[in-house]
Amino acid sequence: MSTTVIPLPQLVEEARRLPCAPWLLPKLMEQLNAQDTTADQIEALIKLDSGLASDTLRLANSAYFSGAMPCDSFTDAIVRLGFREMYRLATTKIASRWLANPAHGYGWEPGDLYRHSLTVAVGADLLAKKLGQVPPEIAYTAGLLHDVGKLALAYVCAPRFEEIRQYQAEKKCPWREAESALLGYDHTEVAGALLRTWSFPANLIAVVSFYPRPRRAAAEHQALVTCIHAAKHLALCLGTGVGEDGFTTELDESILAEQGITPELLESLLPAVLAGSKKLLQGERPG
Amino acid sequence: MPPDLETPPPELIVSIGDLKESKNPQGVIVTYALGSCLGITCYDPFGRMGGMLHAMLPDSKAGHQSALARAAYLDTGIADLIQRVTELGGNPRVFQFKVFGGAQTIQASNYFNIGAKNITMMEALATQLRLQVKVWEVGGPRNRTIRFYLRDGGVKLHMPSQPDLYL
Repeated sequence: MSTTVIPLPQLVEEARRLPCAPWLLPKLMEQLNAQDTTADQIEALIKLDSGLASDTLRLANSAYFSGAMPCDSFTDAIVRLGFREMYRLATTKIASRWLANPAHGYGWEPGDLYRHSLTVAVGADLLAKKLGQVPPEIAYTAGLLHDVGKLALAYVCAPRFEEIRQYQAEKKCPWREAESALLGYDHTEVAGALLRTWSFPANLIAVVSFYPRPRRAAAEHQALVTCIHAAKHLALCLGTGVGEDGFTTELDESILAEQGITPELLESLLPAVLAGSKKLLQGERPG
Repeated sequence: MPPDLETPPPELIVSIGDLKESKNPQGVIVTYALGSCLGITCYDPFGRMGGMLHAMLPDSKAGHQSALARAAYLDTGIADLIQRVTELGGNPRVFQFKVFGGAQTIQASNYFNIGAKNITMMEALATQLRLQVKVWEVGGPRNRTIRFYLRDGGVKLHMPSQPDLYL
């Protein structure tokens, strides 16, 4: 059994070599936050990534978003769906391509990480709309990205997963703690380091670094991080794409209560999370 | 033993809040990733027919605003499952049930205890309706996928990174 520990910077460097890195996302987010961004600027940015514009248009014409007439250009799509919805489509495409990289770990079937991340994103979006504390499109993006550290870890450290599995089963601790005990870091630290190398904004770095333990996030990011913490557990209930570690994720019930996220509210959102994720995953294998 | 799957029979897929039934003795009914939901199989061993329910929530009278299907709830879903297998020609007096799912986060107490609520409701329904439940494979921090083989009523249970079981 291997006991080699790969230093975190080396792991991050190896994970950066995975195809379809989401380097365009922070630039898109920057434009979303600018007051005077035009459709042309967004189109120019998206066209930097070959294939992304057509993938985004295909999604715009999917059952989830389409109206009576198909969109055949970016301008059409922006008129039809609005700027924020187009942003959401583009981020979905960018994140999904990266999350679809094959990696062995966490008991995933092909596509599981993407399916689960998308369900978290839909839950975060709905919760953000309900609570009005964080922009829904940022919550959605954060949901899509929250587990990027797991992909990196599974890609580089797969041979160590049996030890992690045994440690977790023996100690009955959160899976993240088992990673930390055996590797010296966990998937949230990996994710934080990875997003820093791509110059992601501080709020998203806070989400990927602290979503299992929202109290550790800086005060200005706590509402967003808590939103993802709650959405993560909503998605776990539905089970879609949940790996072997899923139900051992930490849960901080006190911070949910403080933020006005009640058990009743969460339960009432489940049907909408199911409906939203089902539409976006249409054509994919269920589960 | 699990049936030979070299030439897999056609699978009926049950999504969340759905139920499917079949009287094809070579048929297989599958539902993926139960999470906190419950997957329930109902089998007539003499007619070699059966159905599967994938219910998300315990009680249809809990007042959720969205119009979920009856199969999304255990109380209405179980009644429909029994009715649909009976309509296929099954005899409710010999129906055998197997119950899977109801996973729960290890640190949950007041929140996200839907899995526990589902199990409690299913236990109550089993008592109330005098259901013959042959397998309870529920609770714990495990996501479950189940495949139901109508030729013998067996269920192949898959959990991430665990060897499959045939129950």
